Amino acid sequence: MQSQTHIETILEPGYLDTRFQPIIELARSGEGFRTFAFEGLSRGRAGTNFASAEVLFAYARHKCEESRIDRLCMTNILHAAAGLPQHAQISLNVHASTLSRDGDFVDALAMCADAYGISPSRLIIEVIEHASAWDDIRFAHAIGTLRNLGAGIALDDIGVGLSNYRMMIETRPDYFKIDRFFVTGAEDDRYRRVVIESIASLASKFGARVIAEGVESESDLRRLLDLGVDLFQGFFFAMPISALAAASFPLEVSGVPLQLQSMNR
Amino acid sequence: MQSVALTNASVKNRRMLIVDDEAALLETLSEHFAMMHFIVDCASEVEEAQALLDYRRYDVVLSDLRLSGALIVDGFAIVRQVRHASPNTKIIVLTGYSSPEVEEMAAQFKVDHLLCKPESLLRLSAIVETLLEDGN
Repeated sequence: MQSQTHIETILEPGYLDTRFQPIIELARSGEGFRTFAFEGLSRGRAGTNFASAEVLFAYARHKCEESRIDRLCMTNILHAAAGLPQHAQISLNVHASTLSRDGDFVDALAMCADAYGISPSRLIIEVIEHASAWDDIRFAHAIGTLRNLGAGIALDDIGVGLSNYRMMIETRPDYFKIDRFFVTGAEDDRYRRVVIESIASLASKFGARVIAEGVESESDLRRLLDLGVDLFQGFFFAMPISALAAASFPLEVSGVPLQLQSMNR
Repeated sequence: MQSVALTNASVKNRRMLIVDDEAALLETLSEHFAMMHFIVDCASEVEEAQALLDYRRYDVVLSDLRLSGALIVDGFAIVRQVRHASPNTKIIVLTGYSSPEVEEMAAQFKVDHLLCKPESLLRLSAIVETLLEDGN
């Protein structure tokens, strides 16, 4: 019999690995780009099931430990982000259930950001949810407190799971994040393109911007631009990278033809 | 357990999830079925198995019934999740505590094979192969 559960191992200092993936803003002319934000990502140790972030967070949810995991990831990400360029936003994922059930989470976030010299106005909180029941009032209070601090709110995984219209109403997101499911294969699938265009239109009516995940090719990028997306994240620009690599990631390039802009070349 | 290395076309590159909280047994089973060219994932907790099942589909799930002191009913949580999400997945349940109640629950959740521990690798392999061949 094992002596401790995985959750205890995961919560040990140094177990989780923190990476950052740039979110790129492209000029409409296609003649330049800038690094708009870095999304902080947490992974378990290589060679374990928890090297997959999906499995790591699903495990936390099955254990009803979203809050403890979210707190640890938040602390790790803000610690690692302290050395990132000041103008870039920092986005991090938080379960809606954490915001509604952990009444001290937002205060802890604000204190942690302050400790690492990060203004809350640089933060984008990506709300993720996989459970249907939460405390609406406490959730709304947490979202309101985050806004008062100056943080942006993103709704993650739009179009899949429970990131639905109700969540849009309850979070009033500043950013709609389109899941890679819709992006991958959009080139050859009219229906995926219709969904992306619809989300972009809806975001526009909310006064929000759209982030597309899973951008892997120049054709993906061109197609998404045509559909009204203006923020991009994916292997075409960069894999998730260490904080050190993120600190020296190119922030702005102008006058570069689109086909030369892949950061992985 | 006696170790054997079988390579039947019906099992090549099939995905298998093995769930057991005995690390040594988990390792033995994992190595054995990997040698048979299964793509093997392992889990030692109910919730770890459930997390894997949230995102991956398996051809075979081989699960112990009692994990880290969990009630037998909890062990069947994995079976229930597999049956709900993937009706064609073959489920083999290993138990050291077989009883009419367990057999009844196994039948209720349409477990393909209920085995009492310890079981030889040879027999286990044969059961897996037969289930997959029958399922083709």
